[in-house]
Amino acid sequence: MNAVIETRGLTRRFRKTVAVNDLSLEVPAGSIFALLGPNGAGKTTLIKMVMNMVRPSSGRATILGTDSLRLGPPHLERIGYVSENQELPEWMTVQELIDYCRPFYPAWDDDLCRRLIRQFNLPLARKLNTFSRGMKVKAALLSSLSYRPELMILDEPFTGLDALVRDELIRGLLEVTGRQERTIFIASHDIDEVERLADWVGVIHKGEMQMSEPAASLRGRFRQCEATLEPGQELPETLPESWLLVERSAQVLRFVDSRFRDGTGAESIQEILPGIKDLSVSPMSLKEIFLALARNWRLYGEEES
Amino acid sequence: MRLVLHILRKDFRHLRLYLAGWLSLVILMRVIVGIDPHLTGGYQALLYFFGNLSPVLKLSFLALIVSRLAHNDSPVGSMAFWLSRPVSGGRLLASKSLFLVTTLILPTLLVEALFLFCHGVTGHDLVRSLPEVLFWELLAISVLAIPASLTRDLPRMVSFGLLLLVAMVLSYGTVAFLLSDSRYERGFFPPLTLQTSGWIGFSLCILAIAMAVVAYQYLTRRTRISMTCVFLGMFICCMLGQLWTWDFMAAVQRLDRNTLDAEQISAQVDERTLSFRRGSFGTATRLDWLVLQGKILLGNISPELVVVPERIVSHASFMPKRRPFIDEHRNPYVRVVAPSRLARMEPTVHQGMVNSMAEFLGGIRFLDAERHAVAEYLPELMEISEEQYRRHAGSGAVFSADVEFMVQRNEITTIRLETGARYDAGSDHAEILRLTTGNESLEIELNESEHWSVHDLGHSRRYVLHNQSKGEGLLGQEFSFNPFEFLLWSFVPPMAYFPPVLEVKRVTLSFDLPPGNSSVDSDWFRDAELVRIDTRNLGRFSRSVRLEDFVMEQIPVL
Repeated sequence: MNAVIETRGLTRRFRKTVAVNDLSLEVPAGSIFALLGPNGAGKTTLIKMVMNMVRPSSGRATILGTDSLRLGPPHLERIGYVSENQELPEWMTVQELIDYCRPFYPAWDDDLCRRLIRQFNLPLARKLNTFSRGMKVKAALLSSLSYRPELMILDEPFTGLDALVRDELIRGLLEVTGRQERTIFIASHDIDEVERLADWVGVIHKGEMQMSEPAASLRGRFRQCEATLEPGQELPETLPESWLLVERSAQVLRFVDSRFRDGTGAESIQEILPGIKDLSVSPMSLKEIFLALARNWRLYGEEES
Repeated sequence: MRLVLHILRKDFRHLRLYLAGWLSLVILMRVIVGIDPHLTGGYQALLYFFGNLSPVLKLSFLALIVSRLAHNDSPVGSMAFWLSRPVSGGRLLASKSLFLVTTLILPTLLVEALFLFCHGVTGHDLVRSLPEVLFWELLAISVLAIPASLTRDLPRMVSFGLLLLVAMVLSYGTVAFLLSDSRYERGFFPPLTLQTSGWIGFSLCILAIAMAVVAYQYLTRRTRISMTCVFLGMFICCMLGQLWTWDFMAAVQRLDRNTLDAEQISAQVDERTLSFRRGSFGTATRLDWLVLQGKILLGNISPELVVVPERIVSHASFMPKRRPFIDEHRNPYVRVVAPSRLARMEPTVHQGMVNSMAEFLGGIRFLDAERHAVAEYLPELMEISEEQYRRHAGSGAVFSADVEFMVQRNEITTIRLETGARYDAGSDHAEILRLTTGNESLEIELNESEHWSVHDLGHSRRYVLHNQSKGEGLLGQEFSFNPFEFLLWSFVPPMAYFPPVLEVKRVTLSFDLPPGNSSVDSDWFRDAELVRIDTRNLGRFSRSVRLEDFVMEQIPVL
């Protein structure tokens, strides 16, 4: 796999808090990689380390084949970055922002810029400090997409935006990435934002990478299962670790199987729960998978504490 | 370079209103100096008010501009816009530095140069002064750039700046205290030129540390290390300033051998003039201190030169194998106790100076000397506590003192008593603006400009009225008006932030009829002329004086 972003044992501590812990990750070139995780999971810190905005405590990261600590102007000409935390020069108008950014990028595409202005419906003469959050994100995205970056990094870009604005932004992103093989790395705590886009998913929790795989494979191995038990039927003492959020109400057992295999999955369940009357298995959306994982971590965390 | 200029243009567009305000203030501060001196009452009060406010305003404006400039593209934290753009820290630093040079430093230099030129400063002095102006500008900007580049906004910058200031004062005080104690033990007091060199070295060191830290922060963005470096660097600066040994000012301010061959000068204390008097500070007497005074006789001094002791470090070994008593006195001769009858702003003159001036003007008699001059003041050789005095008064001791002398030359210039009459000597100028003759007095209003720089040893000047035909003179009183000299902060360069290379002031000289002296009338004033006596410092030399049989109780206590 040709990785655009690669981290090995990346760790960042803020005094006693470990924000990112021994994290290893590969983002394949040409993918739209969604990094999912609840608030405070370490997504932003990870991105900042990759972008050389924060120095790692240990481990290393490479981006576009370059050590993140050596990231310089030639590499940043090929990377677009939009974050909800990013400060914008808000005293500028949109036109001034464009005029300011253009000379930094030899690949700046004026036609694309004009198209995005129209598509985002941005008033050129208005100052950024008079904009709503959605409009500011549009301006930031405009200034980061107009040079057709090879890698676009987005950190919670759609948080708090209404569905219409979000749709506009996603269409803008697809406009740029759809034509050539470009990579988008998008971090979010809300799967709704990225479900349409992502073809590769990584999940981070408490600074550690829980999984990273193609979205199709993830959808393929997660199933919502509901089994109807015989009256008085006891459950085995130990259930498989891959069964998440196991709940029993009377004779109905519900759980999420995170290692379901098409064809043999139902048989495997019946082997563990012999004599069940009925078993229904339904595929899950990315959002459902992520929520199941998040709830499982919360339960697991509570048990731990 | 193209991108450096591109960022610079962006900053200029953003800060253009601040810059316009700042430049207006710089120009206004200079224009004030040239405002017609005949302003009175409310206008003068307003001028005073603005004169004192403007340095503070200028410094505040500068802090605001430096803050906006740095915080727009902050090298602190991880949220600044530039961090995700193809801009390196070095390029950003270059752009910001170029901005400061082109929009703050160069305009100031131009305004100052124009100001100096308009006030008749010679090309030679102009060239010597501009580096000083440049240094003050650079120092102010660099010092402000430290907290600006290590914080993310103005409130944090102010808090960090204050913290740094407190740390600096504490470091300097602690280092000075510790070292002064050890110097006292060793009996080592650095020469005055070395102290000046140390101050210059200290300022240069601060400038270097500030530049290095700001550059490091922009290039690496390692804020915690930069902060540590600042505090360490400040401490090192304090140490360096105190332990400075390279006395380059001695070479700059060297006494020319053609003026005076210091090797040939002999010095001794005139034992007949020794006396103790009660110590005093201003007008308050310090009862628990005694000050030893006495004349120091110098041989082989040519008559056109005046030599005054500037600093005396005295040692008194009262008993064998006992720690000697050591004392240091600065400017022991020119300290003059002002009697309460003198007005606060009136310059004082002591009888010795009056005699010296009278002799210089061909042995004239000052008719108002009793009214305006205080009793003769002798150099202070040592200050000793009452307790020490009581303990050692009867013991024999060896007294020695290392004395630094300043060699001066008096220059006399006569100015016609008429409106518009001028005095021009190099970069120093004076012009009579107005003469007001009353029945019993003459008032002269002068506009004066005096140039001085760190290379110069400085000079002082005094005006007297001289009636040559009668061989008489009047000392008179002097009142000066300088809009920048009213409050304390105007005197402190870092606070005033006012390059002190040219002083422009209005002077009022008031000559009153001496009471009971019928020889002075309007005819006397008509025949009189204004004499300006410039006392120019030419250089220093040191001598040691020694008294073998020094018994304090044999010296009268006055």
